[in-house]
Amino acid sequence: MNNLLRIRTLTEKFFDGGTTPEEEQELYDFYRQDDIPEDLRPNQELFKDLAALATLAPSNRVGAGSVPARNLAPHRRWWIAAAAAFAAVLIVGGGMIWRAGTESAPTRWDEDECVAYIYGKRVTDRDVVLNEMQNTMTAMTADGSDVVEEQLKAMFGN
Amino acid sequence: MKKLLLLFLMLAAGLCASAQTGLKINDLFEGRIVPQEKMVETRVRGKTLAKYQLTYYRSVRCTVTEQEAERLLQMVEADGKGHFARGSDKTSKKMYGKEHSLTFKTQVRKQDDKNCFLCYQAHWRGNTSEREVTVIYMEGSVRSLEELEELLK
Repeated sequence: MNNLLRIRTLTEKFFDGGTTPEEEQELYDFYRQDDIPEDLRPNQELFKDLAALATLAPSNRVGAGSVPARNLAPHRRWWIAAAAAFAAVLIVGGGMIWRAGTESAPTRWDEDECVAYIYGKRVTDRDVVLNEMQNTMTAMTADGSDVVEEQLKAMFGN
Repeated sequence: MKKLLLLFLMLAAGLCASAQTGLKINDLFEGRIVPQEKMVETRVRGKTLAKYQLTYYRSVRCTVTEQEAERLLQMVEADGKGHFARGSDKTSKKMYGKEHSLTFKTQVRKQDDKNCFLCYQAHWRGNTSEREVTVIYMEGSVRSLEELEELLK
C-alpha cells in the first residue's frame, strides 16, 4: 500500500520533471509489472517505452554519472514535463482512437451479430434488421431497377 | 531529450501503421463522413448469411451531396483497385424517367482468408444534388461477384 502511494507520488513528480534517475528507475521497474492498479495503467506503456529507451543510452543509467533532474534549469524541467504529459496523452488518446476504429471497422464483429442503427437508434429486432439487409441486397443486385420501379409505382400507382 | 524524441518517432510510426491497415471506406462506416445519426447502418453475422455463402454483412445507407457521393465512390474504387485483374469490377448506370442510379461493385483484398466485396450504389432524381447512397461490405467464401449475384437472385 505504502509502495503504491510512493509510486503515485513519484509518477506525479516525474510528470513535474522532478524525479532523479534512481526514482525514474524505480518507476520503470514498477510499471514493468503486469499487475498494476487500474488508475496507473494509462501510464504503463509510456514508462515501458522510456525504460526500453533508457537501456539504449548507457550514460543515462543509474549511477553512471547522470545529472539529477533537480539540477536542471527550471525551464528545461517544464519542457520535459510538458513533453512527457503530451506523450502520455498521445499514447492514451491514440489507443482509444485505435480501439474505437477497430471496433467499428467492417472486419470486426461480435459473434452472431444482427443489429441496425437507424438514424442513430439501435434496433435489434431480427426481422427488421434482416428486412433492411434483404432490401439493400436486392436493390444492389438489381442495379437499382427494383427500387426505382417500386418508388415509381408508389408515386404513380393508384 | 533524445529519449522523448525517439518516443515520439515510435508513436508516430505506430499510429501511421495502424491507419493504413483498413479500407478507405471505413471512414464512412465509422461515421467520419456522415454522422451516424444521419445514416442507416446494418450489421449481420451468423447462420442467416450462410445461404449467400457469406459470413459478414455490413451496409450503410445515407443521403449525401453530389460531391460527397463522388468522394465515396472514389474511396470504394480505390479499395478495389490493384487487388484483382482489371475487368473484375462492375459499373452500371441506369435511368428510369427522371430516376438515375449508379452501381459499382468490386472485390477487395482478403481478410482472414475470406473473400471480401464492396458495393456502392447512388440514386438521385433529375438534376438534384442530393444522392441516396448505399455502401455494402461483405465477407465470405463466395468466390466472385458473379457468384454472389447469382446467389442473391
